[in-house]
Amino acid sequence: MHKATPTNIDQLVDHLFREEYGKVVSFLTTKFGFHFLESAQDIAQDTLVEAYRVWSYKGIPQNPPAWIFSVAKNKAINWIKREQKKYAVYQAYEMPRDFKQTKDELSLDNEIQDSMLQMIFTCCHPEIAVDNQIPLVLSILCGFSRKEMAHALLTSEETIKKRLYRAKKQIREKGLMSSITIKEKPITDNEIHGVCISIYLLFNEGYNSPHKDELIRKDLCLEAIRLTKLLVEKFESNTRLRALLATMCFHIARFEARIDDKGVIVLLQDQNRQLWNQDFIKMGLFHLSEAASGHHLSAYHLEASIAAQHCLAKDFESTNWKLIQHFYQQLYQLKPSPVILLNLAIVSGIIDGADTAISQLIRLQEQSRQLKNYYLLYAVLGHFYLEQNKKDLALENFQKAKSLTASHKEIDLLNRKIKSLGI
Amino acid sequence: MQEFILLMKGDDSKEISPEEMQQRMQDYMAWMKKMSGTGNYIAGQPLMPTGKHIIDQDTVLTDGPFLEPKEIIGGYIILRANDIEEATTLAKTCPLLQHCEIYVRPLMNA
Repeated sequence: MHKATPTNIDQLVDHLFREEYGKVVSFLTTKFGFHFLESAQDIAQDTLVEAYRVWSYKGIPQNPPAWIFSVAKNKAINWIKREQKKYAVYQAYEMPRDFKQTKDELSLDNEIQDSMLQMIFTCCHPEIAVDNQIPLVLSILCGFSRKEMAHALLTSEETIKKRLYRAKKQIREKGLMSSITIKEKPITDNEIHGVCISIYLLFNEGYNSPHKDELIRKDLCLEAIRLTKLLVEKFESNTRLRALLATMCFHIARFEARIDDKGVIVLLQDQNRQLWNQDFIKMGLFHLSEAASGHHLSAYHLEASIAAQHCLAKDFESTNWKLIQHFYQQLYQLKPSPVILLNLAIVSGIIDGADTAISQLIRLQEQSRQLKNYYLLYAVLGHFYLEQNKKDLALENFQKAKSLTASHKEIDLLNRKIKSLGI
Repeated sequence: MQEFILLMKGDDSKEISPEEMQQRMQDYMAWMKKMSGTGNYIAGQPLMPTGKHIIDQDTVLTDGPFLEPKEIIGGYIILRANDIEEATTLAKTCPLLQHCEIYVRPLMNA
């Protein structure tokens, strides 16, 4: 009988199980092929169940990832042997030549890292619809259950199941498995660009979600950052990836300050800057300066530069709005989207006063079909009318904004604004 | 002081996500540490999901794998407590209770 051994009970690294799951699934799937994916997922799950049960009673081993990996590998070997016996006539699965060998930690780590990258590129293949890519990434690389995905992405388990099914079928039938590990076929910048788009979407899924549960939203953001870090480690000199990572760091740094204790949005000018996470800001600045070393200027460079200016400013008033305006103008050249014009209108309102902003906003309302029904345009209009003390117009716009959003958080903020008008 | 065996009935670990599993494990370990600190915890172990069910000399059935995860005895814990009431109170604080049922049975001191 095993006696209690409280001395070796220690805390695990946060999200260790989730991360190890992604490693095991990626490693096995790249070794045995995409058709092995579901078996790899079963093996990873089984391994973690075993870890959970054994560690609960015996304490956490010295090197938890190594423990998990060797158990998973043995389970895979047994699985293959069982299959080979079952289908003795033909070799159902061939064991890769070096699979049973014990490797030194460093080369194994490299191999695992490459297999994860291969899975990232596979999941984010441009032929797969983005809606299907995100559940695939979360399921394979982040170990999210269907229930967790449905919860995080505000949809049903049934929908998630369908999306996963479609994506996997596409990969199998069209042979979309990435060949990143093949040395003769280096990854192109275009492929990296595609992955950036998918990962940034995953990040925004968390960052801009109307979800009530802040923890889940942050989880999605942190997973996106983790995957980007993995890519940056491999493609060190790709400045687009660096700039994307910097952008995400600056955004996540402000995560806690954006919502007050009642769950209502806190606008940038009212945020307690003490709550901004300096570690993430430092990390962002580091990657932004690395990103600047290249000759290529991507939209992420500009987004990161704008976010950096906010993070570096002591307060709202002393922010370098002129520089931010300049970055937004450059961003509009690269990515002519009306939402950037909306941001430009806000910035010029801060620099040149409410009149300028209001005339620009009204022009946008008349000219842009996309912005005409965008709640933020009216929320901003209301804000500038309020600055001019035109309370009736402010009220009208806040109400219009309210009618255009379904997000509770945004409605709560608008209600608070309306209440403050005292009409 | 008396000894009690806690039998954990029900095991849904096949269905839960890695993140949940880690959370559960950490909660459980924190509880076990607390119970050890107060001298209540004596021992415990998980059980393998399958085994044998011996009816008589000639009838030995393979018990499990279970279709109904609720029926699995997933493990046991032995606690020391003053009486069954205290043992029950302690068992109620066990975080595993959120996912399984617990039988509390006093061990007979021969």
